[in-house]
Amino acid sequence: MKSKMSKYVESFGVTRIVAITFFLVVAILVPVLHLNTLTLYSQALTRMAMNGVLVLTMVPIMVCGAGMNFALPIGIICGLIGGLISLNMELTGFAGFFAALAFSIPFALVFGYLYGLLMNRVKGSEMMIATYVGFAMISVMCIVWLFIPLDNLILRMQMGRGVRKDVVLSDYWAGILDNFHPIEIGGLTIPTGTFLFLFVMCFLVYLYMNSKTGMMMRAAGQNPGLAEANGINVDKMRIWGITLSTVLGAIGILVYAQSFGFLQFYDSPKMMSFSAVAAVLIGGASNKKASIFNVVFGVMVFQGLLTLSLPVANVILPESNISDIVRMIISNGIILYALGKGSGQK
Amino acid sequence: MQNVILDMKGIEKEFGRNRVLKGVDLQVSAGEVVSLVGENGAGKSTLMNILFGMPGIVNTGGYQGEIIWDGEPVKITSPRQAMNLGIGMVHQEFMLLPAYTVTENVKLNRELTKPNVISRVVGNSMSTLDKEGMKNETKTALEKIHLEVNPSTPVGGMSVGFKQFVEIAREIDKKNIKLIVFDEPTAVLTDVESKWLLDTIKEISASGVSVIFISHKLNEVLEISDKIVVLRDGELIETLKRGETDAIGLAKSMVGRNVDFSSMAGRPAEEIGQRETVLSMKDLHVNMPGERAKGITIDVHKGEILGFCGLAGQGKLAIANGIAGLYPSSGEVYYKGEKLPFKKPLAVLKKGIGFVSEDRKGIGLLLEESIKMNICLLAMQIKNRFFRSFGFFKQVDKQEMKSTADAMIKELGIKCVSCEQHPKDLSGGNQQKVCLARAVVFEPEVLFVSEPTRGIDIGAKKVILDYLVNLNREKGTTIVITSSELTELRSMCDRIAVVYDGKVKAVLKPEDSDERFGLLMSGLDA
Amino acid sequence: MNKIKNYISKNLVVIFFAVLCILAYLIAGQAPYVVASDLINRVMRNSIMVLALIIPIMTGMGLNFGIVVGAMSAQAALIFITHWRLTGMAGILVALLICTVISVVCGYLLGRLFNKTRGQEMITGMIAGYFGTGIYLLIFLVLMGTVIPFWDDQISISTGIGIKDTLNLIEGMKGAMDSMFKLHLSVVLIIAFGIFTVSTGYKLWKEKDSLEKAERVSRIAKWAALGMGLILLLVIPPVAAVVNRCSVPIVTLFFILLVSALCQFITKTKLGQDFRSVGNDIHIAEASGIDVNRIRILATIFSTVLASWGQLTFLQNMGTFSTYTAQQNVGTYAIAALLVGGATIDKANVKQAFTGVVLFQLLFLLAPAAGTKIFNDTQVGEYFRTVISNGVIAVALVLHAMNKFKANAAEAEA
Repeated sequence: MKSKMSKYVESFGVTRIVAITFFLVVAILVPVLHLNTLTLYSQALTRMAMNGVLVLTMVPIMVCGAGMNFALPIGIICGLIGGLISLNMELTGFAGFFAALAFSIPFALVFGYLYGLLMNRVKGSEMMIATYVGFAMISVMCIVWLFIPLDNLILRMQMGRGVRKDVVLSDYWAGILDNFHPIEIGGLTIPTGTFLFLFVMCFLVYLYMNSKTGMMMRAAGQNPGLAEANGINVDKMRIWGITLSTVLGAIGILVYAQSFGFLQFYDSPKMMSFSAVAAVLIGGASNKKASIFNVVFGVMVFQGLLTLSLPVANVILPESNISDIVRMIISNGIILYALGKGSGQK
Repeated sequence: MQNVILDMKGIEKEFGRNRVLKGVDLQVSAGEVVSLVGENGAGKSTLMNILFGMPGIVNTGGYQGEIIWDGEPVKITSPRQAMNLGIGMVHQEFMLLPAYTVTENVKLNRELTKPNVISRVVGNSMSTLDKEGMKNETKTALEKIHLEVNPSTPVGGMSVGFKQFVEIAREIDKKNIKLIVFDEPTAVLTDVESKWLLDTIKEISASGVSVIFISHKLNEVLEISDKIVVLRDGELIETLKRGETDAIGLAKSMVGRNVDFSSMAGRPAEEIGQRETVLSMKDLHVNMPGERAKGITIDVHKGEILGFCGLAGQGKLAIANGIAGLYPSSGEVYYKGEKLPFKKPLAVLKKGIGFVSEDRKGIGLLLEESIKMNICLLAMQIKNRFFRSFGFFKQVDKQEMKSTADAMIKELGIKCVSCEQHPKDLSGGNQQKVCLARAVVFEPEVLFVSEPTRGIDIGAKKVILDYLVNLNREKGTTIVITSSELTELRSMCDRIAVVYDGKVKAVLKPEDSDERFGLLMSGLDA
Repeated sequence: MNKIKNYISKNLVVIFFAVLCILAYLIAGQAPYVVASDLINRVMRNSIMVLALIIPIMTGMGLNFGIVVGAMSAQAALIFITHWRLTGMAGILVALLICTVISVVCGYLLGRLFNKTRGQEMITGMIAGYFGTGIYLLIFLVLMGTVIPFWDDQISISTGIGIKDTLNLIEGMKGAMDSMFKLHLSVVLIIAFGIFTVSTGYKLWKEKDSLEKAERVSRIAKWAALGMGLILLLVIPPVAAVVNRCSVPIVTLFFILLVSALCQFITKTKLGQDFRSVGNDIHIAEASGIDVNRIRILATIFSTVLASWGQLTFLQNMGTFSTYTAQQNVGTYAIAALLVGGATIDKANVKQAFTGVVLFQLLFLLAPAAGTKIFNDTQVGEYFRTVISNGVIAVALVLHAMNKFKANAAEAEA
């Protein structure tokens, strides 16, 4: 009995259990500590919805065998470019948001394709390279942002050129999805539009993963040798997967930004990939397997935990940064666990 | 009786349900050269692994029987212990670090050291390397085997032959060495180098060190052995003294089995010969590491079962792998008069040529996907089966996949909970059935099957072989089967091609004599 | 001619960055003295961290991004020292002791982790660094003053929980190692040349029988050239002024030399040979009876300890550090420096470490000024630094992986 139990714990992962337990404890503590339960829960829902697409980027890239998407910053940068163009044209409302999407996708396709070509030449070391290629891209873009000529004053720094660090979206398309027919249940606000958008994206990815390409991609990711022997073009499948991931990354950051209210340039996207990776892992994904369920469940637990732990911690330990600390330990802990699992079999 | 250095008594070993050694005795006296011969899978390597206390043995439940070393009963549980006892091994695949010099390789993990200030405090691992001393001892070892090479040259750029000798030097250099095992040392050598190696082995044994020599080259075995031990199917068949036998006798006792000629399924050669040629190989070269094909020429007739036999490393496995497009190949292969492209698996599959690989765990299975997916994958990819159309996009039809998979599970008797289970939880035999099922669902016209029964239990073996024969008879599928198990081939094939040194040595009938098979497989004419 | 070509292709990276440095220097137009003294300062405080990377590379574990953990050990040690008000030599020694103990433990754990993730050591090291940061934050920001009873009016946050986010080393501890004994650069150079003369002479005498004539001549020529160079340095007025004004912290220099001597020494021992064997081929090393896991753990411990010493040297030089973020870029900067010195992911030596530190730090200190001159924007130079450090690492990783991939493919073909 005991060994069965420990085996179950082993297969589920200690870190994952800790994360889920933490989430449940915090979620229960919110009403127990007489905090503003409904507002906090609403915030948590918004956080889940706005991060969803960013976590969804993990599905195609992990399934096609290129490992956890530490190169999420590439997709994010494409999204930022799209947002920038749309804002510079001073498009507002849905037009602005969808224009941003439309402008970012071509960039994401190109960058994703190029990045896929690179990944095909460095098989076996994808994750480390992804991380540093992501970092390097961000630092290069830091310089690019400084020199971009812009018309819209809301984007431009006072000195006359370059993008501001945080661009306020409130006059353009902040909350455009969040405020699309939000549902109020006794003080609990559900950001319908964002959830709807997330579910549509999830459904599209689900359809894709269940098409022939998706099935072949799964085979290619799990066992490239077998895929090759069965006439599947592994390199092509990987490029598909990586490109799709990059496109989703671009869309993801725009969804995130409309909820957040700002487009953040320069160093801000640097660590975003780690949270997204952690979320999908908590949701139950492993190095080569990730499903829509993993995404939805993972983003719920992880973002819920992060949002709710801050006020709870503030009651228990005032003025501490415990929420941030919990995030660091849990997200990196679960990544380490996945790494150990992934290459542990000798 | 001379001074017996090694005495292995009644050694038995099982891997799961597979008994690979069934009570083998082996005696080696000081300064004696003992040869171990037998087909692949006869149990030679397992016996040697037991002697070396390899993890592969220790971790699978150890062995039964007794080992007496130098008069003392021992239980060898690690390679290190074997080394300390004075047992050395010259590996077939080199255990040499290319970037290291000859000296560094010879002295690998046996480096000479000099104490220094720090090592006196911290411990031995901090003592300085004695490079001069290492070089001198290496020189001595190299001189013993007449290898003229500068001990400071890196091993990387050397020829295979030289590398082999560096390995021997390493064993010789061990001060307490009493027995050296040579595992197919001449397989990779040129004739001149082989000759040189055999002379060296003679010298080594003359100096009092015993040698166990494993080789498939019967001439060499006959030349240098004081004693020849023949293994077959994990059993000791014969122990022969020098001069007691010749190549023919040896071949016969290696291969000989009580084959039940009545149960042979093969059809008369005349009948097969009249059928049209469906696949024709002309001077096919396949660059598959360790299994090179160097000019295979043979025709495959429609609806026949053709077998390829041969020893490991002779290139029999390369044929199917080359045609399936997995390794770079040259030469010509015609399928129904059309030339097949190389290195293009998709094109080959599209023509209806299927392949069940010998590398089951490597490229045979998606270990962490459902059995269903494993079985249907190929038909999905090539024939676009199992999809439902929704206007302009298509989705997998899980229902149809399930019913097909369930049918195959029933047909082949795959023992599993359901078709959703993952193959990694199945036994070897059932995994093999899943691989076969994938190829069958794809409905090939010609099916290549490599080592379909390797490492699986008897029950599953029979199911698989019967199924293949059935497939051939009922659907008319042409089957080309490659196997190390000659008995198996003889029981089901219409014709059997013996592959030696990358070429077809001869095409035999299943009912041809044991010694013909044995001699041809060893590269001798019969 | 071929020789020169060969030399260039072998040292392409170093030459490229040297040229970049020269350009940056010309553009920046900073006073030579400022540049030189700043550079000495930076090299002194950054060298050990870079040296910490060499052993894991030798052992085949690649770039050890886990040195961040070692850096945090040193920060923890400094927090204790500050709390206990230790200064000077005593402070340095106790700090060294504490950070060594902590980093041995951390290194051991990190080594265990690396053994579980064979082949993915770099990403593991990096994530382990972030994870370690989380634990470090938890201890010093939350547990101190709650679970662990702790109060110090100088360094505690006023609520009583946690350590302030900026730690000022107390008077007498700031630069304790640096200020103990300083000499002018000119004196150091002369002493160094003296040592070089003696060692060259001794070697020539000792190997007088085995040495070829050409080799003798070339060694003497090298000695003479260096001597001439030194004299020129001391005689040409503008240069001499710089050389005479700059001072070198001798104790720190001595410490660095000691650590590099240790690294060199290790390579000549049995342990060093084991490191190399494991690095060359882990399977063959295992088959020949080397306890691979143990060797890899030792290498990691070694690296972590050196990293903690490196961070200690760095922080005592700075005097002030931000308690919770000082370790953040340690790994990236040290690794980038080593790569700039011409090292690769499977080969690195002490010489490359020093070349790298000098070039990388020079570029680092010149970049902002050069950026401002060209673009009239201080930010560009700052960002340029990160582009260089991240870019160098990314390119090195990609090249390494591509070579490995190609080698694997070639092996499969052969």
